[in-house]
Amino acid sequence: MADLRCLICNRVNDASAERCWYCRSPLPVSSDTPASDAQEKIPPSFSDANEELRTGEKPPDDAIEQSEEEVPEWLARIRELKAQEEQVSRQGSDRGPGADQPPEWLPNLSRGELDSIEKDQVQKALIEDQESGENASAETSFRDSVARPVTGEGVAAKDIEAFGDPGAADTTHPKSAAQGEQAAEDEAKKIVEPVFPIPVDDLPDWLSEEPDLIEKITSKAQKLATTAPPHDEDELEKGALPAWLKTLRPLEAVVPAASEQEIPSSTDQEGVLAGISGTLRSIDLEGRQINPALNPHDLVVTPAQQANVDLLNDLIHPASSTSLTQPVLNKKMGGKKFLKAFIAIVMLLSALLPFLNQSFQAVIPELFPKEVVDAYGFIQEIPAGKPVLIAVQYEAGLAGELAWASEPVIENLVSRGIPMAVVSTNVSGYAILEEQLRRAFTNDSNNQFEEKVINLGYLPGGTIGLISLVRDPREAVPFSTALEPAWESAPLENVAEISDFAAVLLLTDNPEILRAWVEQSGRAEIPPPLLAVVSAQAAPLVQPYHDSGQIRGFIAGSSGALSYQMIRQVPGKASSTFTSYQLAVLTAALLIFLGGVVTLINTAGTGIKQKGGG
Amino acid sequence: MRTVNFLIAVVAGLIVLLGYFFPGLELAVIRKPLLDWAVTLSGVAGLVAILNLVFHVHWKRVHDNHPRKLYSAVLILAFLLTVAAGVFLDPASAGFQKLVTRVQVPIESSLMAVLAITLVFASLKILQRHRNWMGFLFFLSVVFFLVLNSGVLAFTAEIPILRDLLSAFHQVPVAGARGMLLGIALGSLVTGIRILTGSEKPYNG
Amino acid sequence: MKTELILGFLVVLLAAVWMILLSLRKQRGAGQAVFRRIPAIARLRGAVGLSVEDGSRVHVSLGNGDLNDAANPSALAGLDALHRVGQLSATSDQPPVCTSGNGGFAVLSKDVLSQAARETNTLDAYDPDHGYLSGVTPLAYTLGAMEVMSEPGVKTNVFTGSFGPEAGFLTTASEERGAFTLAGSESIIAQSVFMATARDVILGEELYVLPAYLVQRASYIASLKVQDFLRILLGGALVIGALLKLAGIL
Repeated sequence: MADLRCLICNRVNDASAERCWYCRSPLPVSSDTPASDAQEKIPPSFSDANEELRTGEKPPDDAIEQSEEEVPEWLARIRELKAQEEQVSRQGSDRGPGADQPPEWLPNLSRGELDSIEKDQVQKALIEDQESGENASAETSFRDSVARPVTGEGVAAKDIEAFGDPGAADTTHPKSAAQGEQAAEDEAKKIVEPVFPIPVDDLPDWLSEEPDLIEKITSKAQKLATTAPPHDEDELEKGALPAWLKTLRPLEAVVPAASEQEIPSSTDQEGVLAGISGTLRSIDLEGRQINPALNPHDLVVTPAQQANVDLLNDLIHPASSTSLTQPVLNKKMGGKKFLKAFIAIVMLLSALLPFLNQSFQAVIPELFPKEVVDAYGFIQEIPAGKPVLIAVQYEAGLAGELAWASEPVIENLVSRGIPMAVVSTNVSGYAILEEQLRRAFTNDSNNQFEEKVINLGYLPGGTIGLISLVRDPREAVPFSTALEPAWESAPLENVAEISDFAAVLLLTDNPEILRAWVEQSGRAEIPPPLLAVVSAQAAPLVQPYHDSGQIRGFIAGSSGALSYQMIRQVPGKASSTFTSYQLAVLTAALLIFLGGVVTLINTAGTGIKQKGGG
Repeated sequence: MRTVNFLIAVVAGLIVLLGYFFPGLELAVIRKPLLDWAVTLSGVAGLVAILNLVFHVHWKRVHDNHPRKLYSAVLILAFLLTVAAGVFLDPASAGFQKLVTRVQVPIESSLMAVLAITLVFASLKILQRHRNWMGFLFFLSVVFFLVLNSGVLAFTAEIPILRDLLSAFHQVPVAGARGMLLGIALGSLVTGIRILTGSEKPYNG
Repeated sequence: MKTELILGFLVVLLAAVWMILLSLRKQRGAGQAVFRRIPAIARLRGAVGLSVEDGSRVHVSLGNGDLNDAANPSALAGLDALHRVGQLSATSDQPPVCTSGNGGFAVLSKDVLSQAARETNTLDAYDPDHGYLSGVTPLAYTLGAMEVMSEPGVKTNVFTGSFGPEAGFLTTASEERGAFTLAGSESIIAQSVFMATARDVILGEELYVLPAYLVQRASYIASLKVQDFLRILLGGALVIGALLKLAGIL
């Protein structure tokens, strides 16, 4: 027996099935079913068409004529209305090549090609229907056939075309010989005509006008209820679900859906579906059991979730973060601290060793720098009574270096009895230098500090202060730090302008200060001679000023001070500390060199590894 | 108000500039007071900034229970003591000067010693930081000039070729510094001109 | 009148006039400025953007130069950078903070920050204490600035101004904390220290072009062009002078 093709989903079902296995919609009536009562109600045209589909034989004409006589009035009225609409549309619109053709979507519904013979037969039947004026439009007739799968009414040929080959093999629904036998057994008992879907009470007016329609419908329903064949579930073969469907429906997790037999087919008296018969019912959920999780209150945290929690914790509490990289960072920090401590110890040892072990001897320069010689020569030529202005600008941090660098120069000035005026362009310079001067005068018994030194204190304003000092020193710094008139004291009583000073000795660590002094003092009518004692870091920047003659000479750092002492042939701190200075500098150079070599080796090693690995 | 600020800045700048280039223009009558006011203003600004630092920034930390509020409290106390010492003892007094020489000098000298070690430590990774020819050249020059300026190469004075070579090397940083300073001077010049012409107004808050 | 004064005045006058004319003229076609790529400044822009995105703070330090010194233009360039950073950080959770070692620049930094807040309509978030004097001496200023850098929210440090060798503390501390560090100074000593201790260093006159790279304003571009021309002029004069000296003419 040929299989049935569902009108809704177009899938092939077993011939004995009443409802589509896939979409549960009622299947069209089989020509072999012996339900005579139902068959009487089927419009002759449709039943004949079905016969053609299944048997391949065209029904006799008299059957068609008989069926035409039995068409209910209401259906005939509908057909007439639709035929009229079609005529109107045909008259109003231009006949295109596809005007009479079925809509494009309809042929797309077909899954396979119709059997050519069956197709021809169906088409013929449909064409006859069209000619008789009983044909509906493709879309509405299809809709009607969906609503009333097998009602015996006519179905357009184009509708049936769209259904495809009912005999085409459906791979999703494999058939077996047992199934075929079962189908044959059930055929006699099967009712082809489905239940009228619309409840009697809800019939529209145009349907309810039919006087005996209700009787017809209710009689059908009663017959269906009495003659519904029992389904033997045990004999039915379980369907093989496709794999994609199995993944959607984990049948092991839930109780299998109840069989059709369990679903009551009677009309509900209450609920949403009250009064509607033949609807799909679900199983009784009250009796359904779903096994809950074994431990529903246990928190299961995945590794990804744990990582996200750690990140959030780090954001909220960055100090207390305990990420996985913390031990690595701690290790790196520990290594850095160790290296820093090692470098500090090495540097300190290199600075202290010459003091602890007198065997270390520095490499003494044989040639004296020209700038040191010039400075010494100039100071030696200063007249004894002419004061020297000592301008100080260095920070307390570099006081140590500059104190050692300036010591031989100041001792030279003190030993020659040259009066000195001290002024600083930073707040602490004058205090630092005064202490140094007092020490120098303590070592020299011939001169007194109070007689030879006047401390003018702090000159504010930076470069602007310099401008005012160069323009008029008496106005710029009228008082000393002792708040006494500075220019009436012995060292400065003969000084009216900046050029009255024998020289300006600048003690600074910043070459910019020297440049400012050079620029501003050069604006005086008679610029005073400039000498400088600078930090070793400023030496390269001060050199051009000496080379151009803008400063008479300068002493730079410990090496310059050593040269000055050697020229004076007077021992001092520079000579005793030069070994320490030299050793520390060489140690620093060695450490930096080793660090660079290690970095180069590491970088080269990383590059080789990358090349090898790549 | 902003226009007034702009005019004051531009006019004052022009007066000082012209007074510098043209001393014979007798602008000194206006220029000198302007410069004196500038010195006074910078001193007052310094005082205001110091008071802001002590009594606003650090006091706020003490008040707001900052983690380092103890250090802020020490700073405030030290400031008050120093101000009191400066007021009651004049700057010439030995006691006040000892405050500077016995406290500030050791602290800052120690920090400079730490700086020397820090710089050596940081210099170990010059090549890591600057992986290019400039970095390599800088690394070589650091090592070379440290050795050169340490004085260990004093024996080269007896070898004329080496003496001249090292003398030439001594001029290299001088020349390089000169070039940089020229560029910096030009940059300072155009920045000053931008202020003078009013293109830049950092004072117009 | 001295020759150098006349020459100096002429240079200043011509540079000023030319700068004004260039800034008024619209940039079109061949006259458009082509900026040489400075990787450090490009990275600064990225770092500031990242700071805004992740809500961290930018710290700008102006050094300890005096407002009355000839070296103050370097700190003025730092103020321009601060202004731009303040504008860019307007949408950030943490506005920038500025430290300086001079009272005048401390007051100016407050001014600049308030200006940036006014321009970006974020005056309610403006705090005058975000610009302050961190120390009166160079080392005290350095330590005060390091304290600001040690705050956990500071991830970008910009050092532009007049520094001494103590700036080594600033850059090493910044590098150790893994923060982005841009350093530039007019001081040769500071530049050499920066070169040894920081990754992103701007040398020489690159410090003065920083504002132009951050904000391509007409006046900045004009001053760049004038600066370039003057540099070429000066270089040419030096070469010619050296040749004349060699020839015995000078």
